[in-house]
Parts: sequence; C-alpha cells; structure tokens
Amino acid sequence: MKEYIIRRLLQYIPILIVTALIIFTIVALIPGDYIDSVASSNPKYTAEKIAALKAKYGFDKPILQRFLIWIGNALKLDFGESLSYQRPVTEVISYFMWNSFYLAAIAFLLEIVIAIPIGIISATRQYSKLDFTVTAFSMIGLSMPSFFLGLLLKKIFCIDLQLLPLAGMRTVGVQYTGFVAFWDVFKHMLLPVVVLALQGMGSWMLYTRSSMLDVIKQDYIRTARAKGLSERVVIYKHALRNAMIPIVNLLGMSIPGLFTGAIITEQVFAYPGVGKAAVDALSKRDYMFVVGFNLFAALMLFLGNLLSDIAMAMVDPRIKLK
Amino acid sequence: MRELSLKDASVEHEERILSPWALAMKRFMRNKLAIAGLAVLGVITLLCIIGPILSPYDILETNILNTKKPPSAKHWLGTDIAGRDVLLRLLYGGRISLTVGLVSTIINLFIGVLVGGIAGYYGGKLDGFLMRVTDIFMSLPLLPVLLVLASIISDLQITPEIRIYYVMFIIGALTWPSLARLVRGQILSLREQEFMLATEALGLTDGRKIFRHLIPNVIPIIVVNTTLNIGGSIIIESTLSFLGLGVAPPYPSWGNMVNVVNDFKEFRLRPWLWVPPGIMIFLTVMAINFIGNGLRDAFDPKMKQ
Repeated sequence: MKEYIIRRLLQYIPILIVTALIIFTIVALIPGDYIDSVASSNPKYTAEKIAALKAKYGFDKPILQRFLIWIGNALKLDFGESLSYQRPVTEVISYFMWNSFYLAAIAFLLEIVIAIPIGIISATRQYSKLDFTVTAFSMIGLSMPSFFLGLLLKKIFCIDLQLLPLAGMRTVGVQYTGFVAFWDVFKHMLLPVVVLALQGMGSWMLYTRSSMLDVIKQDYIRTARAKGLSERVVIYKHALRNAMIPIVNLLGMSIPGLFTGAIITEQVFAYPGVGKAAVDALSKRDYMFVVGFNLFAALMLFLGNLLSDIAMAMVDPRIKLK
Repeated sequence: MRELSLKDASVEHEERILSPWALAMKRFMRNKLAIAGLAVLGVITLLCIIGPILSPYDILETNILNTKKPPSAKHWLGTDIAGRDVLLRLLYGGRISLTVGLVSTIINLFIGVLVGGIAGYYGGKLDGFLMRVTDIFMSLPLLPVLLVLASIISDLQITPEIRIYYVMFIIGALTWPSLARLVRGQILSLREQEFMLATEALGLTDGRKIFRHLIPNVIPIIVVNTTLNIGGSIIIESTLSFLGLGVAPPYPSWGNMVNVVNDFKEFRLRPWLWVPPGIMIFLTVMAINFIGNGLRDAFDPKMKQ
C-alpha cells in the first residue's frame, strides 16, 4: 500500500508540472494585471509608477521566464503573494478554505445520511411508487442549475418571507458571542447548505440505487434467497456490502473536493469561501491567487482519486494495489 | 378458418427476431419519463425556432417609454430594462443556449471519440501518449479553469457574436477526456472478445473491422453519454453567462438573462426577468436527462425486466 501511494505520487509529479504550466499560461494570457486593474480606477498611478510596480512584481517579463521563477519558488512551497489581500497565496487559501469546508462538509454529511438509505430502499422496491418518486426527485436535483435554485430560495426565504439573512456568513458590524453567534452563523449557512445538499442528494441517490440494483440481480443473491434466508439478511447483509464498494469509492473521491469550495453557491450567497474568493480575485486580476487556487483545486482532484483507490482497496479484498 | 390464419400471422409477426437497435427502441418507447422528456424538449425546441418568427416585436428593438413593465396581455412576460419583450428574448435565448449545448457537445464528441478510438484500437506508444494527454486534461479542475478561459475571452474585446463560438469551443475542449476514456475502455474490452478474433480469422480489413464491428458496439454508450452531455453543457453555459463570462449582451441566453439579479432591485422587484429563463434551463436539462436515462436503460440489457 505504502509503495503504491509513493509510486502514484511520483507519477503525478510530471502531470502536476504540466498542469501548473497550463494553468499559469492561461492565467497569464488574460490581458492586463492587478496593477492595471488598480491603476485604471486611480489617477494617482502615473505611467512610471505603473512600470516600476510591474517591474517589482515581475509582470514585465515573458511568460516562460515568469513561470520558471514561479515554479522555482513553488518548489520551496512559496506560491507567491496575493496582491489584493497582500498576503501569501497559501495563507489566503488556508484562511478561506475552512469556511468552504464547513459549508460543504455539513451539506455532504446531510447528503450521505439521507440519500444513501433512500437509494437502498428505492432499489429494493424497483418500479414502486417510492422508487419512481425518488428517481424523479433525483433528476430534479441534478437538472436544476445551482445558481437558479439558490436565487429562488433566496427570493422566497430572504426577501418575501424575510426569515433569513441575505448574504455572508455573519451579521456585519455586531459581535455576538456564545449561542447567539452560533445561531447567527447557522441562519447564514442554512440556505447555501440546503442548495448544496439538494443538488448532491440527487446523484448519491441515483448512484446508490443503481449500484444496489446491479448487486441484487446477481446470482449469489438468488442463491442466498434460495437458501431460505430472510429478505432482510439477503439485502442488508449480502447485497449491501458489495453495493457499498462503488459508494465508498465515490466517498473517497469527494472528500478532498470539500475544501475547494462551491464556487457558484458561495457566489450567490456571498459566502466568504475560497470559491468566491477565487472569482473575486479573477475580476480583480489578482493572478497569483487565481493560479494558486486552480492548482489547489487540481491537487485536491488528484488527492480524491488517490483516496478513492485506497478506499476501494480497503473495502474490497479482490483489489490489490500494485 | 380465416380468423385462425390471421391469428397465426400475428403470432408470427410477434416472434420476428428484432435487431438490438429495434429492441432498444422498443424499450425506450415504453419508458414514460423518457417519452415525456422527448415531448418537452420537442416543444421547447419548436417554440424557440418558431416563436421569434411569430412575435410582433424585434429582438434588438428597444423602447425607452415601455421599460420594466410587469407581464401583461401585450407583453406576456413583461419588458426588461431597455423595454424589450422578455418572452421574445426568452425564446431567442433558447436558440442560443440550445445551440451552445449542441455544438459544444459535438466538439466534445469529435475529440473524445477520435482520441479514445485511436488510443484503444492502436494501443502501444500512441495509446500511452494520448492517455497522458487525457490525464493532464482530467487533472484540470473544470469550473475554475473554464472561468479563467472565459475571462480571457471576455477581455479580448471580440464582438459578442463571435464570442458565442469561443464559449462553445472552450466548453467542448475541456469536457472531452471522460468520453475519450470511456470509448477507449470500451474498445479495449471489445478487442478481447471472440467476435473480434473471428473478424481477424475472416481476414477482414481494418476499416471493416472498425466500422462494421467495433463502432456499432460502442455507439450505445456514446449516444447515452452525448445526450447527457448536452444537458451538462447547457448548465455550464448558463453558469458562465450568469457570472457574466459567457454569452454577452445584446445576445440573450438563458444564463445571461438571469444575470440581471446582480442588480438587487431587479432581483427583488422584477422576478419575471429572471425566473422564466431559470425555469427554461431547468426544464430543458431535465428533459434531456430523462431522455439520456431512458436511452441508457434501453441499451443496457442488464436493466431488462
């Protein structure tokens, strides 16, 4: 296992370098930079000052040279400075990352706790009314664009009913403590969590259902029934264990992604997560942060794949990682 | 006597051996949700094609005396900030959103099948190289990279009309790797099967092997994937346009019509501007998903009742 992980990491290094080069290049291709973006709204910036600042941050050099400097620093775990936050990129990401994680993790827990059992029950009663409802609900969740679902809920609960705060994570300008502070954050997070959970539940339900259906149709399940085992034992002992293998695989894959933020949902609810920070940075031309964020997301993607392989090997004795 | 022979004939008719395609078609037609999806998508497409022709208004026509009006008999979905008819923009936006979904899927299909097919069939070094390229594309986080590409496009100062094509291209060019892997995997497993050995033994040409024996077996999975991909591309386009990075005004798309919510007053007071396009995206994507799932169930013999 250890050997496998090390080899996967080594194999990933060249891919990571090329990925970094691609991300760096496309970000550098966006016309203008942070200095231009600040200078355009501030007449105090003279041509000389702009040129001096650009030279200071190395924006005047060709892309390849900038990339080599950047990757040299990146090897020392220095991913540059986010100009709009005036802090190292890693610090900004690790600050916002946790806000994103709380949001996504709560939604994720809700999803699996609700959707997986429903998916299992739905599969055991294929073609029943319940199964039909579950499938239809999942399809609705999968087909709804997250920004529209978010906007609808915001319009209903924040504007028409005035039950929940409009945006952000905490009420601005007040210092709550104890339970009041918790309640304040809870109210802010409720709608974004609901949007994420409703969307995620659909795919978890469908996935669990189809994985369960695949297993139920296999011969050993027929054998178990023929032996006279109770339906309960057949489903929850014999079938469920194998049906969970692809689910565990997907769980492993999803966990690192909880840190990369739900870009759209965070944007709609102005939630201070890393996804919203990245969109803001993009519009402010804060490129070091955009590059850092993209690379961070790529890394989490890789980690997800690795984790899902490891999880598979742990639950399925037929799989040996080599 | 005559009745009997008729009955016999009908039995014979029932027992006629159906081709796999006809069987799949039969299974598909029995799937109520899939048929409903087909009907909804058909109606939406027809409305988007015919609607703008029948409308008394012009798509670029503005009317500053008649702005921000709620729905009425004259303007069924009201008018927007520039006094344009929202219903007309909705149908016109549908043309653009559907076209973007379709064209970017065709690009995705073209690259995916080509790369996956070549890698799977020829194997060896070529396969190794193509799969490394696929790995690299797969390691890019989709939405963040799309946002960066879209902001390059929005900064290039190109005309909104040309920009639509760029949007189609970047969506297609980033979503193909999963299809390529799917096609490659499918071809690899087909190559090992006996009927491919038989084509070898019969001395068939490469072309005949590929087009008569491999491709027909890969098509079902491609059809399902492509159908679902159209829905996915429509969501991606609408998301980019919603963030102001996709299809740009004056051209409407369902996503950029929802973009008005950035003006808080419009969001709060004029839901007719942003709710209808959102519903259209939802209905269209759901219809496509129902069709895609129906196709998957129809092609997959494991799902047979």
